[in-house]
Amino acid sequence: MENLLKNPTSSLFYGTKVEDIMESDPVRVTKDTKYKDLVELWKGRGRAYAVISNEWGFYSAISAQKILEIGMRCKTNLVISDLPKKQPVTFKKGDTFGSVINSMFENKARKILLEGSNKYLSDRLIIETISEKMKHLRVTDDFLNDPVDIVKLEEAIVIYDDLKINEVSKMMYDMAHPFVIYKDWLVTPWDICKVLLSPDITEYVVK
Amino acid sequence: MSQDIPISERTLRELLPERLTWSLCIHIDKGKEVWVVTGMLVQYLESATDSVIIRYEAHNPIGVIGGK
Repeated sequence: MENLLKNPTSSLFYGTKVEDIMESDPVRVTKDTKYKDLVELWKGRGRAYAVISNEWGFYSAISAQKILEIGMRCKTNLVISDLPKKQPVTFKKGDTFGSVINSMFENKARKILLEGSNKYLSDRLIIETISEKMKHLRVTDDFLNDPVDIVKLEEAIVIYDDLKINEVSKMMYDMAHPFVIYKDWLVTPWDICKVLLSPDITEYVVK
Repeated sequence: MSQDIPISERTLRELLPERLTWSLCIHIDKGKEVWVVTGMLVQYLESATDSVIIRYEAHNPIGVIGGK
C-alpha cells in the first residue's frame, strides 16, 4: 500500500519486480520462541507476520489470524469491554483513495469504516479493486484522486453480547475476514494478539 | 502444563503443539512482476496466511509483501 502512494500508476504493477517493493528479511521464529517475544518482534516491524521452518522443509506462516487459535483456547474472564476502546477510523462517500490510504497509515489501521455504518474497506479490498476493476491502474490517470466509491465494501459483524476473549476469538477464527463490532469496541485479530500478553491470562487448553 | 504461567511466557510449541505449522507460506519467486503478486494478495490478505513471501534460490525467503 505504501508503494501505491509513492507510485500510483500502472508502472508499479508492470515493469516493477516484487523484490523492489518487498520488505526484506521476514521475521523468523522457532517453536521455542515465547509468545511475548513474537509480539514484540511484530510491534518492532509494524507487521504481524512471521515465518517458521516446518517439518516439510519449507516455511509456515504465523499471522495475527493464526493467533486466534491461541485466543480461542485460553480460559479467561476478560471480555471485549476490557479491551482498550479505539476511536473508529472512518471515511465518507466521495473520499479519495489518496486520503483513505493516508488515513490508514496515519492510524495504523488496515480496515476503515464508512462513517455511521458497519461497512468497511481494507487493504485487501483496495488491492482487489485495483487489480480487477481498475486493471492495475491502466484505466485511470489519477488514482490517488479517484473516489473510493468504486470499492465494494464489506460489513463487520455487529454483536450484542460482551463475549469473553476466547469466545470472540473463536467467532473470528471462523470468519474469512475477521472484524467484529461490539458497542464502541472494534475487535480485530491484532487486538486479540495484544490482550493475550495480559499476565492475567494463564489458563489454557491445548487440545 | 502449569496453570499459573501466563500465555505470554509460554513458547509457541507449548501453545500450538500440533497446529503451529499448519498454515503454509504462500510464495513467489524473485524476479516476478508486481501484478502477479496482487492476485495472490487478494486471495490471502486477512487470512491465516496473510502475506506472500519472496524466495530466492530454492526455498530461502528473502522478503515479504502483505498487510501492514
